[in-house]
Amino acid sequence: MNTYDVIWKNFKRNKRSIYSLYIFITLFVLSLFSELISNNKPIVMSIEGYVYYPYIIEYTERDFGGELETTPDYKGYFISDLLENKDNWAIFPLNPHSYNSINFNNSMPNPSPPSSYNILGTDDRGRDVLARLIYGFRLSVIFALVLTAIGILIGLFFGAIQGYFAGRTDLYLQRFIEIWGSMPELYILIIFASIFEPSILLLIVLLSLFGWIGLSDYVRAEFLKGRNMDYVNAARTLGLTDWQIITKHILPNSLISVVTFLPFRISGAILILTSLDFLGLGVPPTTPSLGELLAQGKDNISAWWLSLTTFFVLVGTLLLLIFIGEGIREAISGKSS
Amino acid sequence: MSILEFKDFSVKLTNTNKHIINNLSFKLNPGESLGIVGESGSGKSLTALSTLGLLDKNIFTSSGEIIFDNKNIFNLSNEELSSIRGNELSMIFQEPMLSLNPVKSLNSQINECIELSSNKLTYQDIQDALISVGLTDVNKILSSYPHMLSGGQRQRFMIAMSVIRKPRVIIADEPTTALDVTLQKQILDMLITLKTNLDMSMILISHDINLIKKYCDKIIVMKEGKILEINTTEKIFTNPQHEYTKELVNFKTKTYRDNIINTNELVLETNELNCKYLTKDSFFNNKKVYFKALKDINIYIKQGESVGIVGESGSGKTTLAMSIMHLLSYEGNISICGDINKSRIQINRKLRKNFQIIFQDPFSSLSPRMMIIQILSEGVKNLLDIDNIDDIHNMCISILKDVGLNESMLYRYPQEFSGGQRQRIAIARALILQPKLLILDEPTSALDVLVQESIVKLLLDLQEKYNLSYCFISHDLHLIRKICHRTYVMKDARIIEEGITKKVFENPTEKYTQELIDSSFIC
Repeated sequence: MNTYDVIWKNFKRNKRSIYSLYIFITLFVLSLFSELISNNKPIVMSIEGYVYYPYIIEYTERDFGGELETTPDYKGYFISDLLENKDNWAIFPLNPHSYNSINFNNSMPNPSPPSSYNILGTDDRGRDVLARLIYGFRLSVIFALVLTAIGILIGLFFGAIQGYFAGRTDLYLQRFIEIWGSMPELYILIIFASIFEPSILLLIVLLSLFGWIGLSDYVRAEFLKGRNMDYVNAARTLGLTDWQIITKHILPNSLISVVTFLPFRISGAILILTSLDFLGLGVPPTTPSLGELLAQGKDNISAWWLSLTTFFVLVGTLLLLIFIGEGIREAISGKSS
Repeated sequence: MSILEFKDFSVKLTNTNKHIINNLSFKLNPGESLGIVGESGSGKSLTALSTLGLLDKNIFTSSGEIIFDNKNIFNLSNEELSSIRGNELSMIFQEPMLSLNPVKSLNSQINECIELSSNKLTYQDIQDALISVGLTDVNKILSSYPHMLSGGQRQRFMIAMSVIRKPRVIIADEPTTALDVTLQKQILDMLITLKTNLDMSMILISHDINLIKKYCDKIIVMKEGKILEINTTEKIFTNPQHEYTKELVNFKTKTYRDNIINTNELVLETNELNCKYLTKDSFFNNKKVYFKALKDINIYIKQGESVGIVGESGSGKTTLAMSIMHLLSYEGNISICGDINKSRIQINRKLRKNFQIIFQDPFSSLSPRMMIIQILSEGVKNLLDIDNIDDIHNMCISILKDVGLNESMLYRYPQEFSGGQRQRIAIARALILQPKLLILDEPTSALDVLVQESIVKLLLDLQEKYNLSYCFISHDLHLIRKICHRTYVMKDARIIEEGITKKVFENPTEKYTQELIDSSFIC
């Protein structure tokens, strides 16, 4: 049986990890359809016999007989009045708020506590907390996946080159990595945040510059071990090129360390994004982010629905990832025993 | 009266209930030396460990009795066991590098034995013990660390540690397997002298029945956890009862391959071949120190001929193989099949199909992430330019048949196979390219004796079928005798003797060759 089959079998034996994996995947897939779950635009609506799809197509108020050439506020007076008519109807998503739609009809001051309209209350600008949590979770996980993927690609590349060619190449690259790694990451982030418009892309680029270093060390060690195995020598005598040997022979045998790392790197990346947002160095203010919600919670200590809900989402996500990671690590070490 | 007795002793794995040792019963008399012989997995090491009560109770469940000095080992408390271990029953392990603690000096390690001793021992006893195992420079040895000694010295030191408390029984678990042939004989001779001088009983465990026959009064042949035969050494060799024992005793024949190869076509010729390793390098200045691994090697191999290269470890045998395979840089000339040389291989990698290699360890020479079909077809795609999947599939099936495997194995991974099967797969991987020259770097030394035998037979058949030339590297003179027409003897990076195998073995001109032959118990 293939080693990965064995690892998967061992992994499935660990109930906590396998359920964590299922829950995490379900939540992530659901969050990919956030627009259908939480949105201030109706999915379908019918006005005077005509069917509209505001979720897919951008309409202007004029399309509904209004005057302005802008997208209508589907929760506002104009559309609400239209929907009063019994022939007109609209199907709203489960949570009829988007991450940056503001509840103008709220009778309570912002941040307002949970109510039947805003299930988890609103933040200090009147935006729905549940919507921001759903979108924030999606953004955090996607951000973490992208950052991890880039980190792994760069780390594999450098680690593989260092380990496979060894000698001088290894020596020079290792010194370069030492110098590169000693640059103060946080200061560079702060400096760049003040020069450029803060955006998710800029964050990914800046964090990727340093995120690969830890991983490349592990890959390098695996390659240094692998290059002296007899099957690598055998591959050389079979006339394979260096590139073929790296990709076909050594890489599949050194991926274990990468796989073990994966969940921990993802949870680490989520934590980095959250803490940068918390400090106000991360994404722009309109973006839904867990860190920004936490910061609001700190500013409004009495608004428990801000800090507690965010706290549970964050801890829940990290816990799931750590359980998965633990399971993978045990599955791999179980293979050798 | 016996000093150690096994009564219906069985061991099984706790979680799978699989029996590893079945109803073992034998006796060891005072002053007797008993040999236990069997292939790997036959349970001989487990027998040794259980004598000292060293089996992990979470993994193994044992039943039956082991009676030492009228006491059942299993009924003793941990304290009582500790007082027996080392003082009365002592053990020598296979790999001295692993059984000595690398961060403690040898002095503190041997002093540990003294502290645990039930008798008062002094420095004089240490000195006597070390001298008795042949380590005469006592102070220098005691102040060094394990890595500073050679393999032979380490094993001598281990033996000194186990005999210093004058135990009544000594158990030696493959004490010489990790050592060179020339050392094996010295160590075993020394061990048997010690046994006689100190009036001990000894259990000597080995996979090689011929190696220990001189040293044992009685021999037990084990297979799959059972005793197949137990008898005096003389009777085992003159009148073996069990089929398996017969195979073990008879497999080393004394015939040479004496058909002469009459062709002038050379598949390999080396000319003033030199190879050196960088051992010390400085970044800032050009002070470089080299270790010369090959010095002026001139060898040739004719078409269809088998040539043996023998020598102890460190003599440069494997470096020679790697140079011929063009896997490391060398100076001098190597020409394969007449006109293939270094510069032509660098330009055209496809020329590699003419020469292939079989490595020593079949467990590390096959990538664990590739199925057999992938392993076999890799070279075909790269060197023979055959892309048609059906063609490749048919080639793989026919080559598997050649090496005695069947096509159902194509879609399985290497770890599902035994050592012997893996070595056959490695042979198939090389032969599918139809090379003219095959280099075999100790192809059988990681395998059990009877598996070795079947691989050798396969190699001989294949040579006849495809008119292959073999360059057979080994420290095992029995195999060389069976396979090789001519033999080169290597020592300290040089070829010191060469000639027809029979001539080299029976009338060696060099003293070193004679030593090598004596210690292999070949005659």
